[in-house]
Amino acid sequence: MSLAPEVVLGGAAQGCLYGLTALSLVFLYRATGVLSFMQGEAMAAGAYVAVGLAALGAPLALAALGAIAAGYAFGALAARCALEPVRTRAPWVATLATFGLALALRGVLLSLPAATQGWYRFDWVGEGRWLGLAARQWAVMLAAAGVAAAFALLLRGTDWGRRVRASAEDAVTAERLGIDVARLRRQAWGVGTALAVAAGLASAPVTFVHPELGSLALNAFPAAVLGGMKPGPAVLAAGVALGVLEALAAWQLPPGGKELLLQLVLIAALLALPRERVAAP
Amino acid sequence: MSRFLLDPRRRTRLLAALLVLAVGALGASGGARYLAHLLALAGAMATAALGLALVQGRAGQVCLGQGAAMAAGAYTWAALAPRSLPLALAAAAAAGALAGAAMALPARRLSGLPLALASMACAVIAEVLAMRAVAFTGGTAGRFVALPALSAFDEASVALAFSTLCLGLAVLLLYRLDRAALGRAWRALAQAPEAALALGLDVGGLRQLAFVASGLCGGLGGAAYAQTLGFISPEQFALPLSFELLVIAFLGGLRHPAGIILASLAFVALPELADRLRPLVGALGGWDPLVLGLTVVFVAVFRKMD
Repeated sequence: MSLAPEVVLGGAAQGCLYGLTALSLVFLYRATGVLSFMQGEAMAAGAYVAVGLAALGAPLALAALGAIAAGYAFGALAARCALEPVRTRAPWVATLATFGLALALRGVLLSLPAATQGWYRFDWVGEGRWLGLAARQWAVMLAAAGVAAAFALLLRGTDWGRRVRASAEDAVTAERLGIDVARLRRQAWGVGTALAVAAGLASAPVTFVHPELGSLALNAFPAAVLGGMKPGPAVLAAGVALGVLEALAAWQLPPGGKELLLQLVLIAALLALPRERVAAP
Repeated sequence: MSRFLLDPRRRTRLLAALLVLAVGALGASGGARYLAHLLALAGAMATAALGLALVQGRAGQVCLGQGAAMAAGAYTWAALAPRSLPLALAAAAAAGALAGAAMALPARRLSGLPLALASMACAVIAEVLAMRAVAFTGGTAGRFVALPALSAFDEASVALAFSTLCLGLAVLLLYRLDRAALGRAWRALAQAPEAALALGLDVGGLRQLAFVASGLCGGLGGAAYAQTLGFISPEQFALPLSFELLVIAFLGGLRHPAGIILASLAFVALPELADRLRPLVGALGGWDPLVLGLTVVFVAVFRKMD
């Protein structure tokens, strides 16, 4: 039983990653009306871009910035070529298109011999321990909090954020007020994808960089719903809570128990939330 | 030529003709047994995707967990087929319907996206159960499907016949329901939910019934899938399968069984065609997902939705 604090703290570190991924999911859902299934693959691909840039000799900070910029470019390009053209045609087709894009990204990753043959580190932290946790885990928590705060600032404190929120609230009125809603949606796809890349980079010190890095995005769905499907601190808190719950379940329950528990939490959260929170915007 | 391609109906016909040519070429290069195997697999996928045409094209709800219904049908078929074929078929359909009912448990209170997410959660739960119920499923190692002894025919022909039977049952169900009061109630639910409510229809119950009927098709499809492959394991029924079925149902056209059958044929033929092109690209580990993903995006962008 003496292990409990470390289990809880380790779970919280993992949960920060769920929360951050959920934040990108919820932001895209609110800003574009599309549920994206490519966040996990964007995380993995972004981490590989950072590894590649670092291997070319770039300093780690520059490699991270480059990967985030690449994430923005990919998201905006995908929106222009595929996601925005299909968005108005039938509901869910854009969601299926994100699934196709995720498959394509995965195909590219698996096709790079260098990517599949080795395990890479994008380690911006280093060794060390503090209060029973590795420095890497503390760094993940700090990075997640920092990225979430920066994102909140972007959404709440800038003109761009106000325009995005206004368009999500009422696209027709926003259009009348002179906001280019379609362009804003493309930019939102870029920002949402860049946020997923940032989550992937935040996870890199604890998980290694490998093609399955994005599989943690599956647990972002319960975090997103539990957090009320609104971009904000509640989503991050829900992610942390789920991470702790998962760590405790992995510690105490038989194998498979933690996956079952998280999905049951998802169903319970769906049933418990007020309906307009999760309904399509 | 460009004008010809701009007409969506002609474009669809051209795509269908290209598809038939491609499958014919595959069959010519691989032999009759190979062709029968491909057709049987396409039939199994189409059977399960027809369930989605029911739940989505008729009742207007999205199911992200059809793989769970397929898994239920497949494992039930694998367990019971050595005893009695009719019993196993009925049990597989019932197991699929049961999985659909489990997915629809929250359907009294939920609809639309929340219900879709709940069905996705059920698909993940089903995969975990399939991994852990080792006695019944063989766990992660998977289990072989003992094929019924019909010594006069080879396995691929038996699978094709069985797959065709399941597909026929699903198409029959779809047509019967389209002409029944239940089908009309579903259409009302999809097109005007508020009017359906005002007419006194049991909206939650209708949603649940749609998932049960869809699960039944999924169970039949799962049985045909297991019979065709001869081996099943939990990761075959993981989330990507549910999404692939959704892609087939959507891009084939939710209202048209023929479109769905063609789409599943394309979906089965595509990896095989990609495999034939492999010499051109060399040893690319991710060639299959790359081709599949780009095709999904391409078709989503260029196909005219109805």
